[in-house]
Amino acid sequence: MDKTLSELYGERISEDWCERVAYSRDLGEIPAVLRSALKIENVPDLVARPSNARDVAAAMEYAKAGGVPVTPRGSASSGFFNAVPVKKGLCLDLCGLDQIEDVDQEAGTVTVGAGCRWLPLDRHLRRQGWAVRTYPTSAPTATVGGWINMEGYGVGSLAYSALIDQVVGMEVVFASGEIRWITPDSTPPTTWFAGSDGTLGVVTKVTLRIRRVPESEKHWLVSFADSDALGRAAVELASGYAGPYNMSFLHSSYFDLQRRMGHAAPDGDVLAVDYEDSAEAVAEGRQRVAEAAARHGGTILPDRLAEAEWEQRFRHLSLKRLGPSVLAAEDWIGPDRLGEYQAAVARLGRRLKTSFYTYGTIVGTQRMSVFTGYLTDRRKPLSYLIALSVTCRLHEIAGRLGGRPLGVGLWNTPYLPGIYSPEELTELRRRKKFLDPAGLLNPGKHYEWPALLSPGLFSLGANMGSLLQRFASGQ
Amino acid sequence: MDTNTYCTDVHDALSICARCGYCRDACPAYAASGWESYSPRGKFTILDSLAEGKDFPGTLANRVFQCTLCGACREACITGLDPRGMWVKLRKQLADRGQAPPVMEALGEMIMTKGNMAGEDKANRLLWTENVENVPEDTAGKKDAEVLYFIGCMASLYPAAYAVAQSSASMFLKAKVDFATMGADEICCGFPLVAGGLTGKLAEVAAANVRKIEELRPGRIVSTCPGCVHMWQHEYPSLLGKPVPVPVQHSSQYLLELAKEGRLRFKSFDKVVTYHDPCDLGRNNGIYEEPRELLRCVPGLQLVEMEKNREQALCCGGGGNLEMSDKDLSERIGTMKMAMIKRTGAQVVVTGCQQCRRTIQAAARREKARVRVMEITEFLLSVIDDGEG
Repeated sequence: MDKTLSELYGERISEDWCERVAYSRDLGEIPAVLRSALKIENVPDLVARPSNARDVAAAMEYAKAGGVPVTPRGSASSGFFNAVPVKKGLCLDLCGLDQIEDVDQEAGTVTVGAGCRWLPLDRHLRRQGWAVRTYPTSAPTATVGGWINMEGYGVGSLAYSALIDQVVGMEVVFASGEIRWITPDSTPPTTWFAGSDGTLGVVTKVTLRIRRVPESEKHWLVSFADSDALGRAAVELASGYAGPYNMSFLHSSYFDLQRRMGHAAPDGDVLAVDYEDSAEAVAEGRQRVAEAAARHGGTILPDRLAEAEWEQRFRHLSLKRLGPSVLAAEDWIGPDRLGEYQAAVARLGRRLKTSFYTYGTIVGTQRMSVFTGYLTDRRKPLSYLIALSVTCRLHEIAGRLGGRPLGVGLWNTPYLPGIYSPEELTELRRRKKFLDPAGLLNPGKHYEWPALLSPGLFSLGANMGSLLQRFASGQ
Repeated sequence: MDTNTYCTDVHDALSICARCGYCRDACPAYAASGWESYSPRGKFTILDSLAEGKDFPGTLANRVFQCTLCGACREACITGLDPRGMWVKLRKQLADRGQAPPVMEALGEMIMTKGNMAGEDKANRLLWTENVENVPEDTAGKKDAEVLYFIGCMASLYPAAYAVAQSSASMFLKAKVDFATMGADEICCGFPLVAGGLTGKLAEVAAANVRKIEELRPGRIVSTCPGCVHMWQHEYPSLLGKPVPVPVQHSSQYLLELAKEGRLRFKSFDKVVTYHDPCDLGRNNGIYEEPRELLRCVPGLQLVEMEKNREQALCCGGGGNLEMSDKDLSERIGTMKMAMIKRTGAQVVVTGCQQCRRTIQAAARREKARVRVMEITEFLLSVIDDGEG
């Protein structure tokens, strides 16, 4: 092991196989045969746990000198290998950077380490009368830095937009080893790092805008006969002033699985509407929800169901118990296209004899995420490999409706031409070259696809896989 | 010897695990070490990689024992897995293969030969009674008593914990409870064997204790030790294939009954108190409210909660035989616990377990914390109103 790093990190660096292999996965379940075919080396050679930006800078100096790939990692609570090495090298576990500084009462901001987890941060702030503005549905474990490096949309984004819009500034360690504090107006600006998969620099500290703990909060569930009506109600509620804090969508197929788990679940397609605001605004919200429900044929469900669903907002993955594996495609679409999306998913399900379930988050009048999953079993390698191809069909449905995959990492690189325009992709590659000319940071992600995942070849493979899925599906 | 491969009996769980990491951020061993490999998710990932054909490495064997078996991972798991149960099974497999820390083997040997985890002569189980006044001479081995007080190894054999047994006996006397003990015939409940991966010897221990209960025929068993309660309530019935012949309660449950019946009354105590949920009483036995209700019976007492309590409570670091396998890790967890206790501003921390009391007291000494640490029976005795002023 490198002597300088060893002396600097002490017990916070390891070459032990167990330590290294523990950092070789995320939520994504990729069969070893596929990893091997793609020549993915997901077990790092070395894992280090920095405790400050200087530690990270030293790691970058080491990487620069030896041409060692560096994979920054938060909690790895995504599923696209965003924070998993594909070319081994050094993995930086940033979870130790979890300090929370004092709230700036005047500015309404807090500065935190990039490894700070969202739920503990929110609880910490609430004890002082403050709260985070938005958070991911993996808040118990997801880190602030990790979510910046994803696209940063989640609970509360309807009211407060993307996470990056709440970032006043952040400390970044660049591939050169330089430590800099950047802002929305600096070069590079903070916005470059949103959804960049840790490929441009290692975020070590972030100053976030926060909010006062809302005076009042209330949650409603509105059941609709179909997703089309639900989508229209969602657009209406998201429009205009004093809208909800958060809205999410739970398709009836999601509740079918909840019932299979033995849980009580409502009928219909359900729009969850969450208000967190002044008592007056929440009361007004009640009126708006009632009006939207009446106008679009929805039924407001009992309060206890709405409260229970709100409590479950971090636990959607519980359905995996039924699999035991889940495969999924997550896309952005317009809420106004939700009905068409669900109809197309239903048709695909019938054609492939596959049961899908869907839920999502509405983040604006033009944009919502849809997570469409299906149960499978990784213990049956062949049928699992075939089932993998179905994600491609789901992304195609979203694409036909003007949507695109959410997040890139490694596994969505075949969809790069659908995620970015040619101009956008050129610009992203320019930024990468500018900030990390040697390509040390998280190589193999975001900008290029592995040869076997080139869009044409991938599409062909996915088509063949989908054909087989009709026969492989035991349903 | 169990001839299954290490991953066979956990194979389904490894497939079900979502690797969301919620267990990791609930795990005290992870929080104290900072390494993913200490966390349930980390161990799952390593185990899952072993399933692809790698040998079982020493680091993982260590990690399986570097755990307090607190069960926080089970509470956090969104797919409903029981990682704690897996660690217990894995510990047995490791012990069978000679990969458990040597101290575990020695512990097992001691329990099976001496009948206790302290290696003491069995006659010493009565030493704690010497400072308790008015304990009837026939208490040890008395038949048909209202209550059989199952004391546990720590409170009867470790002088620093005698106060727990002595307080219980005094409380029973003040409430005029007709109680008995097994005296020198009490043997270890077997809980340390579970944590040591030595479960093959459990049935023998369970049978011996149950035989004694059948002989003494008490109305119920009451214990101050959550580990003993867990064994009697949950492990013995499955080990022996029959229910334990009498009800089993933790002392907090029984004392609450006495308080409600008016057999116990308390003086005013105008201080701030916080309650530490022992993992083996709370998460592993489901007893959260009775100790709190008891504390609320004390006039003037202001009960404040730690930021993590009940199902989410942070372990004190003293469970799972961790002190034996990794004392430093155990102490680091204890230090985190003490920081959380200090944040409540409480002057007294009360707990329902003699081991938690010991671990937290040690942390308080290390951290020079100005907080008094007491087991619940001990605390209640200090505020009992027995009409003697």
